[in-house]
Amino acid sequence: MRRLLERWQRDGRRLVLNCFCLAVVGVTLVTGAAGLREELRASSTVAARIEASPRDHGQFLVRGFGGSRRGFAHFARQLIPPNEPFRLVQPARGNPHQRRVCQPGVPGGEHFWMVYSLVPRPKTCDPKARWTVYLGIAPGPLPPGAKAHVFNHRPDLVVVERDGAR
Amino acid sequence: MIGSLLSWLVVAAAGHGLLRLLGGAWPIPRLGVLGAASLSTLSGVALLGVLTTIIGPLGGPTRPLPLLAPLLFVTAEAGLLVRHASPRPGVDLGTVRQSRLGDVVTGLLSVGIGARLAVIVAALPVWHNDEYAIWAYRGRVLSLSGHLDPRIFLGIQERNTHLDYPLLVPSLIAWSDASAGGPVDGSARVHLVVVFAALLMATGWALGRLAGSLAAIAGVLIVAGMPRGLSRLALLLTADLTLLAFAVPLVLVLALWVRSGDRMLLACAGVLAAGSASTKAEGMLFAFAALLGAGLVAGTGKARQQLAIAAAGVAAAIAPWLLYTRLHGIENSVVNGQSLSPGNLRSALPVADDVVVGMLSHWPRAGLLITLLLVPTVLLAGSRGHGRLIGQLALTVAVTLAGLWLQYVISTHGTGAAAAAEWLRLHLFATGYRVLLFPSLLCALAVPLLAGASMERGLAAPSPSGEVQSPVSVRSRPVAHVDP
Repeated sequence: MRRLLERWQRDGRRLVLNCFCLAVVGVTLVTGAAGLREELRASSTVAARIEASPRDHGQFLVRGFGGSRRGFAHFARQLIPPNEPFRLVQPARGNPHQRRVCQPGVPGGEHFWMVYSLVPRPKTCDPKARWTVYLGIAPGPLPPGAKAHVFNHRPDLVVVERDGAR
Repeated sequence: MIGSLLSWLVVAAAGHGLLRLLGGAWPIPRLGVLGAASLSTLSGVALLGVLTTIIGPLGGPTRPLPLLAPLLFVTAEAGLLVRHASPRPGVDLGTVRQSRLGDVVTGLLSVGIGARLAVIVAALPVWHNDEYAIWAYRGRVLSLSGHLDPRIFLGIQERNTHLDYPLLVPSLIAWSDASAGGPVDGSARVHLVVVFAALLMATGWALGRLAGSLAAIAGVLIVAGMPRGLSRLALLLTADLTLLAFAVPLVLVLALWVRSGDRMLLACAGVLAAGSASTKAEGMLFAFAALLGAGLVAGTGKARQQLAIAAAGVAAAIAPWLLYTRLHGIENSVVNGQSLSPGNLRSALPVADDVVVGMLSHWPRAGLLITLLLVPTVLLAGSRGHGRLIGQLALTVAVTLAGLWLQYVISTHGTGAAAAAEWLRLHLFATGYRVLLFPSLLCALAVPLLAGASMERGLAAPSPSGEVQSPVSVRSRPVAHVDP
């Protein structure tokens, strides 16, 4: 009788603990499923919003590249040969602590998007580069022999080619 | 479509060949279909990244042809043709009857979630700053210029971003571009989705063997439903999900290895660690933490020695990139001369407490119930003989958190306490939710893992690595233990 009682206690304790473990796994399963459902729903919503956003020659238009700027990246791509470096000049009206660009203070989003749009052309900080892209700023007086390729009659959207105008 | 399928076939076959060569056995019979498929895919991606990292700095081509694809093909062939002198016996992880249901369900779940996600992301263009400034940019340079253009990858003067970031994800994007016939954002996204699906499969496979089918299904759901995983990270051509795809299975595979000491598992762990370290700077920390956690709970000196050899292989895999960047004056973006300078440390040390508070406030929460259940589950599992598993997970999480804490402290910039605190706030806001996902996921996965493992009584004799084998492994009756 005593042995039976001990066995029952042992087995009963084991059963209770196993039930607890099963309940724990069940809870994680339900919580995981709920999280997945929520994530999938949010994912579809965000993706639909991005998909519906305007494009420029198949590329997503980041803020600052809509309106009359649309097509400028494509314009620059057509002018600058794929293996030649270019310099990008922008007005300094962004984060003054932006350290990852040639000129401090330019808007990083526009900068990196333009650089990506011109890939695989490497970016350079060299002011004597053959190609300089002026984005949102007029080039000023050009050096002798340079040619300005103006986009849609916009004086602040210009690709300047030095030493070798075609 | 056909090009993408063929490209994945080559990658997975190369991964299979690599595991066959390193593991000394056929992956499918040893690991099962789910384990072999997922781990071969991840191994193939890791191999692609490592090969690009070796070929690129030497000035070689970074497109699949004429070198990368043939090298992957040769690895796949070598895995099929090379005969090992004597087949190595080991734990047969492919025929564990208790895991079959889990394998089928988690396999179907992973494929289903992957397919759904692929449909969601297939039409998305590159849209986020981290994509066009870092990951997609570097991938497209490899793809369009066809080589590791030093004017971009070594562009310190040009102030190019994150020059220290490794090449695995960019190489996968370049691989995708080649298979799609040009830069196609949707194709690159689907390639990353395949890696994510492999993460789910590998998680389900490993959990099934460690804790049973139900825990495996729960684990897959937890990983797939991780906070801001599908709703944010899966919509980005960045490295965060790919990093998790290597790091999370790495910990689980190491848990299996600690139990069995099987050489194939150690080979898988080595390749996954190399993949993690080749994906992001944090990946090196995660791989180190996982290997250290397993090494400290591995019972014997011999097991530790085997793990040290695997770790040396991982170091050899990432050495070319570290050498290439350091030789050209590119420093780690976090641990560098500036961040370690006495002046910066003096200004950063006062924020050490704020970093702890910030990490807690940005901790990705997998669910309140899971968090509440962690402590009782750990106590129960401890009382049921799973001390080593708990120790491995706890050590991995602790080392990871300590490393991340240190990273946040020393990388804090700003003159004065207020500026440093503001910089830290912004830094944690931008990175905390994704960098902390790895330790957070491990904590969440520990709940079904330990509860599932505790459901049956430990019956086995200790393995040569010193760990009591799991009931699941015991029932599979391993013929003999590996002794390389």
